[in-house]
This record gives sequence, structure tokens and C-alpha cells, in this order.
Amino acid sequence: MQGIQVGNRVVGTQAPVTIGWENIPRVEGGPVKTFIFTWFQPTMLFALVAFWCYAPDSIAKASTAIAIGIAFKLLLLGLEWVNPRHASWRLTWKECATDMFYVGISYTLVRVAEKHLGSDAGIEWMQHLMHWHKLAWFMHLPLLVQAFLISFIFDFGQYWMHRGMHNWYPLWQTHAVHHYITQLNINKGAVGNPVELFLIGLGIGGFFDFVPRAGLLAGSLGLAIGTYQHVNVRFNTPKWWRFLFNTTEHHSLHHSQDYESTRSNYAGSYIFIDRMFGTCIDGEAELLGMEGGRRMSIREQMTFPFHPLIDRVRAWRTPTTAVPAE
Amino acid sequence: MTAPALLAAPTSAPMRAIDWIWRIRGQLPLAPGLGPDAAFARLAPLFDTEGTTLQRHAETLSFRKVHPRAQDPMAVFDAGHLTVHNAQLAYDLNSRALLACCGAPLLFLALAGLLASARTPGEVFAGIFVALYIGGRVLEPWLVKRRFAAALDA
Repeated sequence: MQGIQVGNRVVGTQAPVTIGWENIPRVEGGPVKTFIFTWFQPTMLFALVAFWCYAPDSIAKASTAIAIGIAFKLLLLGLEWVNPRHASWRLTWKECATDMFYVGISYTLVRVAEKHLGSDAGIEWMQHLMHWHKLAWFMHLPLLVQAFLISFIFDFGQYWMHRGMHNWYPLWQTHAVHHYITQLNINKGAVGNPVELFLIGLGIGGFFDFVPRAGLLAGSLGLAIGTYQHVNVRFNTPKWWRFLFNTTEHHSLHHSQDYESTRSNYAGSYIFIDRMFGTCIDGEAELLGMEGGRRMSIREQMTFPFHPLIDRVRAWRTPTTAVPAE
Repeated sequence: MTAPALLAAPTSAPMRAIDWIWRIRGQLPLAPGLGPDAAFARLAPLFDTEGTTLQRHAETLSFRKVHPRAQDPMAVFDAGHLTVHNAQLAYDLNSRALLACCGAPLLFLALAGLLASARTPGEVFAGIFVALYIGGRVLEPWLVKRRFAAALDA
């Protein structure tokens, strides 16, 4: 397959990819549909920012954030049915149930591990050991700046963790399973080995002290931007948005069956981080996955990172038979 | 015997009392004169997917699926038998996904009990999986019947 030159690399030699915004299909339909799917993303972002900036204290709390998160995902699930990007990414009951299993594991096992072993626990230990205090000056910054910095610092760390996963074998073993997905749907971000989900959730945000509302606003930024990584909806995303933020297009390329394309677009929310480090490619792919799109079972996903270790133990336990020299 | 074959095996009377959890049975009337050869030929495209193997024996078509792709509309079934007899298509399909979904609430309830800080999410996800199971158990028989009927009418 003839590839496409992008900077100093050639992509699309192993599987079809579309490069360049001018080559990506637009929303098809009447003016109302086109209007909705052109302005949906910025409208939701600005609405959520406005809500968290101006909502009274009585409703600006974590339970409201959870309710908004669920409602937003249900809305996107509906949009997946109304205007899917690819028919081959359509959610089936089995895929929905499988994805929900991983979401459930994220909210239970992974969350407990993060609480007791994750970055916050490590940061608390470090602060106690070094007699450090939280960086209180952070609290005096404007609310929106605090929220942006919280989400940017987290995404910056996530970028390097994700890039590390694609470049260092032990980390890749934990992340590889996520690359076996062949569709992008609303809950596919949770599909992966719990070890990877734990690692990708590490951050240094615990060093900073911030007002609770800033934390909720930062979560909303992630919701209104990062969620589109794994969504089967066709949008006419504005130019400024796709320059700054990660999109389904960017992330589909990252999940492509083309190896070189997967080595791009590592950021979770802010694609400009990829632009800063030369790893951004603007484009999309429909054919996703590994090994030609093989589906990996939940059992294999759970054990995959430990396969090299299991193989070594097996090899060690298997007695070698001496072959006499002729 | 492999897991899908084991699930597809004929079941004893006590087993039949519970195997509705993962087993979907149904019947469809066939057009007059539509014999097994013609009926299975019309249904063949539904099974023309990667990971699916077919076995034909007289009036019965058996299939097995190993790691079916997400794009396979019949991926929820691991094995099954379709029989054409007396101008009717009878099918008996097995789904490990339905079985796993039915058991998932127990897993999340166990996590809720074991992990103190995961109590609420554990219970919520147990409830979600009960709802998902009921939804799947109603939706999938309807979908498969519609798919078979559409293929036979084609």
C-alpha cells in the first residue's frame, strides 16, 4: 500500500488512513442537522464553563458534576445513533455490555487502587516526608486559569505517560490491549487493562491547592473536550477547535491498523501538546485495531500484560531435554 | 469439548429450566416450497464473517464463532443450530455474553462488599448490569428473528 508523506514520516502503508482536513467528509443532511453538528461541541464547552463559573454554591458540587457527566454521555450516545461517523463503529448490545464492564472496573477496582497506591497517596507521602505544603498560591489565580492549569498539567503528564507506553515495552504491554478496539464509542476510553488505567490516571495535581469549584470546572473541560476521543459521531468541528483540542479524527488515526499512524496524537484533551512535540497528525481512520482487527476477549485483556512473565515462568518450569551431539 | 460447543449441546430437563439465561430459541415460518438448501443459502451471508465456522448435516446447520468481530451483527452468539423442518426454521442459539452479563451483578456486588470505598459504585454497576441483561435478553431475540426473517425474505 502506498503511503502518505507527513513531515518526515510515511503513514498509511499498512492500512487506509485519511490525511488532511480537506479530505475528511463533512456532515451530510439539511441545514438544521448541519447547524447542530457544527456548533454542538463549542456550545457544550462554553455552556459547561459558564455553568461552573456562575452556578450558585448550592448546586456547584460533585454530585451535580456526576449528573452532568452521565447526562452528557447519554446525549452523545443518542447522537451516535442519529449521526454516526462510521456504520462499522455502531454500538451493539454486546459491545455496550463489554464496555460497561470496563467502566465498572474503572469505578471500583481502579479507583480504589488509585486512592491507596496512586499519585495522591504518593504525593501525600512525599509531602509528609519532605515537610512540603501544598502550593497555596495556586488558589489565588482566577478560577478559569486554575481549572485550565489543573487539566493541562494532568494532560501534559498523560501525554508523556501515553507516549512512554508506545515506546517502552513494559509499559506497552499494559497499553497494547486498548489498541485492540476496532470501534470508537462513548465508553471505549475505559477499555483496557486495569494496570494501564491506573498508570494513565497518575498525575501531579495533588501538589497544588485549588478551590473545589476549579477542580469541578477542570473535570468539565475534560468532559467537554476529551470525551470526543472515543465517540462515533460525525461533527463539522471548527478549525480553531481541532487546532487546540483532540478530536475523534485525531484519535481514530492513533488507533489505526497502520503502525506509523498509531505513533501520533498522544494527548488526551489538548492536541496542541502533540503539536508542540511534533507528534500531531491531522487526519482520521476507520479501520482500527491490532493484528488485522482481531477481537481480544476480556480474559485475554486482563492477563495480557503478564504474558511475558507467565511465559518465562513456564519456560523455567519446563525441563529442557538435552540433545546428544551427532 | 470447547466452551461454545458445550453451551450448544442438547440440555437435560433441569438445565432447560435455567438455560434460557444464555440460550435463545425461536421459530420462523418458511415460504411454501423453501427447502433446507434454499433457506440455508439465503441465511449464509449472516454467517460469512471472520471467526465463524459452519457445519451442515441434512436439515440442520450448526455454527460456531471464535472471537467474532465487533462488526459481526451476530457476534453475541458463540454457537447454535438452525433446523429446517415442516416449512419452519427453528433456531437454538447460545450466548456467553448474555451469561456473563447475567453473572456480572454478582461480581460487582462482591466488589462492593470487599472494597469499602467502592460500595456505592459497586452497587450501582450491579444494577446497571441487571438492566443491561434484561435489555439484551429482550433485544437480541428480537434482532436475530428480524435478521433471519429479512434474510429469508430476500
